[in-house]
Amino acid sequence: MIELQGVTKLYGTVIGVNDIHLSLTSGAYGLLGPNGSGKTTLINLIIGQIRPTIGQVKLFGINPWTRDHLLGDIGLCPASEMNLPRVTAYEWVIHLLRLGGFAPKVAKIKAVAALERVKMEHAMHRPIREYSLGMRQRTKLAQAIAHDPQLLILDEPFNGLDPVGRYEMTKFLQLWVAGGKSLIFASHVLHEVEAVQPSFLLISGGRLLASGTPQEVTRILSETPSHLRIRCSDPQQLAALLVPECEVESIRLNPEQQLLEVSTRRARALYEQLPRLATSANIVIHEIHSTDDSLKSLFTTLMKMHRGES
Amino acid sequence: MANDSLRKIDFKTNQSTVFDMSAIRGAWATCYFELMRSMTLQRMMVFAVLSLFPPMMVFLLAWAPRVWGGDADVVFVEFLTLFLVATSSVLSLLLWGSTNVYAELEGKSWIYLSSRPSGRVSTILGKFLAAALMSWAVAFVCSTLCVGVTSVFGMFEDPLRYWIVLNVVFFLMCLAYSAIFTLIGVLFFRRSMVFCAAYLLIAETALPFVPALISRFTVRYHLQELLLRWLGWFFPNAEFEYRRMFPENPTWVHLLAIGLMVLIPLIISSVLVIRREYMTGDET
Repeated sequence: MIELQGVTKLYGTVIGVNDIHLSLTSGAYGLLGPNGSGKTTLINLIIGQIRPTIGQVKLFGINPWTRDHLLGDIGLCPASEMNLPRVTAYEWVIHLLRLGGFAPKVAKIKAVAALERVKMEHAMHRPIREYSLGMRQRTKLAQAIAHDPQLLILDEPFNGLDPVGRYEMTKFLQLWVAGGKSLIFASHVLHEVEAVQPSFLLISGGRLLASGTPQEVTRILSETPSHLRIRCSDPQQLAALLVPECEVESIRLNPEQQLLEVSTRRARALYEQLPRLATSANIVIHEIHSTDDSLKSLFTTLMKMHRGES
Repeated sequence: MANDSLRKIDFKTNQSTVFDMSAIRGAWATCYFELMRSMTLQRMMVFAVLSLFPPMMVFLLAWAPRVWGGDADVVFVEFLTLFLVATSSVLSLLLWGSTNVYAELEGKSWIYLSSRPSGRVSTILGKFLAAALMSWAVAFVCSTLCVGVTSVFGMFEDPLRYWIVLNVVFFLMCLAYSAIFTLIGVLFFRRSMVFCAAYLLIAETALPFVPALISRFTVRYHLQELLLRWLGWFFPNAEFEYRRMFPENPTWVHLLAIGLMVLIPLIISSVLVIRREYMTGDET
């Protein structure tokens, strides 16, 4: 479906993406990376909005930069908020459908269907400027799916959504994938991507650091140094039990607050051992809290692996 | 999925070309959308000011001699009508036609439009059409009111002919300048209005007075020639001197020249807009 061979994109002297090799067949892909990591640049390269400085991009076997008819099979939901103060969602979606070659009557039918699908039928005749961030997000999604594309590309689709909106978006994406269609969606929040269960593409600093199934990423995550804060009845004794049993990198005690802070590279092993160790010594665990951002530590680990440091 | 996609897309026939039917259909859709978007109080006010200013001036010029005595200078009123209507419609073109790409980049809608098949070409062609039509509408209202005012005062001998010629010439003018502004908007999208104004001042105001071949490459030269042919000379004594510098050509030469001045900028604009990368500022 998508193939990138040694793709580098430079904006003057700034590197957008750097030497990316990628081959994607049909399916769902979560493009995961921190802000400014090159996700939008990668998406723009895939849909032919920009040209690679070095390398080659192929979409459905063809260079998307020279064949914009390929765009008829792609639905794009960009991250940017459109500023169309007096236009309604209904008018906007119809316009984009007509721009894609649909006859006016067909465009109207498809626009209404798409807006109903994202639950915007009640507000579709109101100007976009009156919409909340979530409603705008749903309007963006409606224009992306209105022409029934084979591949849906979403850039930060969860931005601005409330918990209900996030749940509905997740459900929508799960249904989209279950319908046999392809999906690429970019996000900087791990659990949002995890919820759709796609294959992961991990990008940071313009480089594709890793890719794989959810299981593979979970394995990498489990080997990422984790910092745990455990509040228990006897932190000193628990520390004494954990050190010989688990690969603990560092430990910090705060007996006054009954607090134990542990840093380990084998968080999974620690989680497995902890109940047994605590039960054997009659230690009551009040709270376990992971102190770090899992995605940040994941990318730190991957960058180190990329540089050959670990 | 890959096989499904291959089945759906006919790679041999779906070649990307500058002008194809989907681009033309998309251009109509854009034109309709832009005109619909223009129906706002703010834009209508601008339209009204641009349309009503010339007839107001013409009315004052025609009415003043009746109050203070004397005769209205018919040639001067004819000339002023032309000048004011042209100025109004060119100003409206500057407002609506020069910021084709930049307006969409600023409104962050460019990515949505350009990610549709033929979306880039359709958008600039549609905006070209919308700007030309809006400006011609200004010229139409202007010229109708101006000729109406002069008719009330019984100034022109053949007001209907004058009105028809004016509208034909201004229609050609709106098409030609809209196409040129489209090209400038694609080339210099960040300062397009400044470049369009500079073009008008340098190329269309100063250059036609240069007694050399280069003046024939301006829109104004050909419009002027058509006006002279269809309306006759305002100042007949000047014809001999003028013709020594600018020999007369058949009407079709001027129409062809204006046609080319519409087509060539549009083709170049379409090629450029396909080949250029427009940064939306959201690349991460």
